Amino acid sequence: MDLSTLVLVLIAVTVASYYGGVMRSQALAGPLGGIKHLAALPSYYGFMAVIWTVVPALILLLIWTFTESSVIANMVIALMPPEAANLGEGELSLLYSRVGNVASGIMEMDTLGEAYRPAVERLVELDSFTAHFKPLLVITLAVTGALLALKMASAKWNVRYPVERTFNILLFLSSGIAVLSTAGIIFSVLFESIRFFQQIPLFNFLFGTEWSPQIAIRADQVGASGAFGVVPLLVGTLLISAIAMLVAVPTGLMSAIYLAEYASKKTRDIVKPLLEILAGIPTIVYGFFAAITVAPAIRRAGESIGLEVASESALAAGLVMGVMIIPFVSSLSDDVITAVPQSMRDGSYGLGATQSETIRKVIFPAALPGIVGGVLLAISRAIGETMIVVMAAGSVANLSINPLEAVTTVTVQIVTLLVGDQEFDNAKTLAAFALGLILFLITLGLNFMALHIVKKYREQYD
Amino acid sequence: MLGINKMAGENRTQESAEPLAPVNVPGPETINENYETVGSPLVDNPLVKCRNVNVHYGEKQAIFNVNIDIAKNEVIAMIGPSGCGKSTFLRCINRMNDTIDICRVKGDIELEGQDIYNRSVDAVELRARVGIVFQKPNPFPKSIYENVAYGPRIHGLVNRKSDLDDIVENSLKRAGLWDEVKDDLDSSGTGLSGGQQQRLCIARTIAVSPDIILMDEPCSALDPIATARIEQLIADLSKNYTIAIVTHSMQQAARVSSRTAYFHLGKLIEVGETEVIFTRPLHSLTEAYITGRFG
Ligand SMILES: Nc1ncnc2c1ncn2[C@@H]1O[C@H](COP(=O)(O)OP(=O)(O)OP(=O)(O)O)[C@@H](O)[C@H]1O
Ligand SMILES: [Mg+2]
Repeated sequence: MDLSTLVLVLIAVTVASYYGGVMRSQALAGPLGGIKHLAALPSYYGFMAVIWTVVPALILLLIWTFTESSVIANMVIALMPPEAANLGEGELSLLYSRVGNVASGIMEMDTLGEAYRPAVERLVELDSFTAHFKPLLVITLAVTGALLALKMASAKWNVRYPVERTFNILLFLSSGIAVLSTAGIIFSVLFESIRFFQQIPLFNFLFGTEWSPQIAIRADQVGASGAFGVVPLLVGTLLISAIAMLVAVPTGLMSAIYLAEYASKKTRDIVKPLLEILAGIPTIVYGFFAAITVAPAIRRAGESIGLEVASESALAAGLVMGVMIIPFVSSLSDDVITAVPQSMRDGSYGLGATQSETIRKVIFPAALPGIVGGVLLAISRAIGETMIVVMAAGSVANLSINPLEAVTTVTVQIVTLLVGDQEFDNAKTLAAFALGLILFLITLGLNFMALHIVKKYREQYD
Repeated sequence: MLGINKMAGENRTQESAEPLAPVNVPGPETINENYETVGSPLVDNPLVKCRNVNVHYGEKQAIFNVNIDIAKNEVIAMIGPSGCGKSTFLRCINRMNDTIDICRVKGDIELEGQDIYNRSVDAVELRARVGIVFQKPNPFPKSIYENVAYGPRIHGLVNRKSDLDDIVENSLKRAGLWDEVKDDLDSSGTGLSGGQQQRLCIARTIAVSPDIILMDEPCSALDPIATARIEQLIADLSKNYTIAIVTHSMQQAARVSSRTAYFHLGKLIEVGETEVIFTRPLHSLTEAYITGRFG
């Protein structure tokens, strides 16, 4: 029985146990004169049975699946001839996989030698044992659990508590997964970065103004020691983000004000979804657009007035990124503007203020903290944006704040560093992690600030 | 307080022998479209003159053919069961209803002889002359000073900071809030207590020196002590201002107003001297309401 059949059977047993639990509770309630005499509602009895069915069976299945290979390997290796015990780790695992191949019939016995026959036979035996017994045991456990739950059910025992508790634990575990994976990512980036900083001093990295991560791949290469100064990348990132924000903040904000305060309901119903479509376009499409349409257009326009424009310019990437972020800014701002209570508007109109005075002097200041929070979130998106800049901004690490030149960003460099074959402990590869760490710290800081501001703003009207 | 019960008209008893509304069936149909207000809705030399005012929210009519005058420097109270259209009518007087998309106002409302719904009249200027105080205090999330200075600033009433300071101080004094806040004018208006906030809103309204102040249940969110202060304030303000106040409290109407108007299901049933309304009402519906039989 393979895993998918096993899962299907388990689901069937689970569903059956739910209805079994419900029916059992009704049977219990019958003689007492109705469901109201039960300690909990019938569905809770159902869930109780489900828990008893699923939890032990799943735990067994997980433990078995995760330990099976190493347990079997140990048992098989124990039966190998003594010379195997002297092998190193790598060679031993190679040998073990050959034993495996023989056991599954891909290779002939003679390729290994007769001395390995007991090991091979043991492996065949163990494999067939687990293949048969694992599903059997799991299903038996599931059914036993279900029956046990049905037997334990009583009218007096309030099953709601254990059921709610189990759900609680389940929810906690789910949130734990998110937190743990975040922590995992942070630590792996952190550790790799530490390895990077063992080769390249932190100071050189943070304050170096030259970025050319070409280092000797072979020991006999000369002259390419690499420079890992992050300043040009940060400047490039900030330049492009700044251009993007120059586009996105005014446009997004004004469209939010229009939508929230001036637009009729009909206009709003049409424009808002359209703006949101803008947010749904994949960034690679924006990248295309930037590289193929906007960048050449800027170049042509620049040349026609005698400016020298690189074919990949910060301006093109920034403009398109700005357009991408417009819906982000406008929908966040729209939310905070509409959240300003109607009574504020009434108060202002009641004093004889016009609509634009009301917006400028009451609504906007009241919404400002929320808007600032939204803008900070938008900036952190701009900084982390990759695809558009990869396609449109170029990868030359110019230290320049001229928007008509090609610049490169942190994200672009991460992509460039990790594309291609390198050794993993090479400073060039490790540099990607250090860049990732920097990016992470910047966006974390921005998000933290944004959330803090937004939260403070929330408290104001309560 | 009186309970809120629109259907309670059915509880009316036989004994009120008022012929204007047939006994036992005082539903909206008994007071038809052409119902004429009893009592004395009109006055000589009115400051505000309302004729044939009808208000619709979309398809739904909220005010039916209301005729009423408001005299200069009087305090007129508007009472009636919940949902009878008091707020709607009050908001007609400074065109606050313009801010509600679906609301349409028909009829004539004149302020000192000028039709306020005329195209040539700017609602923004009108609202500077006819201020409004809402049920729920709604100070801006700005400092106390800025709250009061808001109106004078947008209307360009002052050029010098010292003039503005004077207006702020005067308004706060007249609203009876000055002594409590004079030392922290820079702290936020939203940080005050409910009663203080309401007085701040009144100060804010006075600061633009309106002719008329509309008040929509200004005390309903306040405790008795704060209410008493506001009532005292209304009495003081009535020397200089014309005040129209909506209230659910009969006692309050009796205490602060000189005339009282009783609304019922969008119609103006009766208007008269407050004393008369509360002692010898002409209409059976008015009597039923003020004696607490419904509403
Ligand atoms: N913005 C609105 N949109 C639609 N209908 C409204 C609106 N405001 C009020 N109405 C309707 O108009 C009628 C009168 O409402 P109004 O608020 O004037 O009553 P009210 O006498 O002030 O009541 P209350 O004493 O409860 O404040 C009600 O039936 C109400 O449903
Ligand atoms: Mg009202």
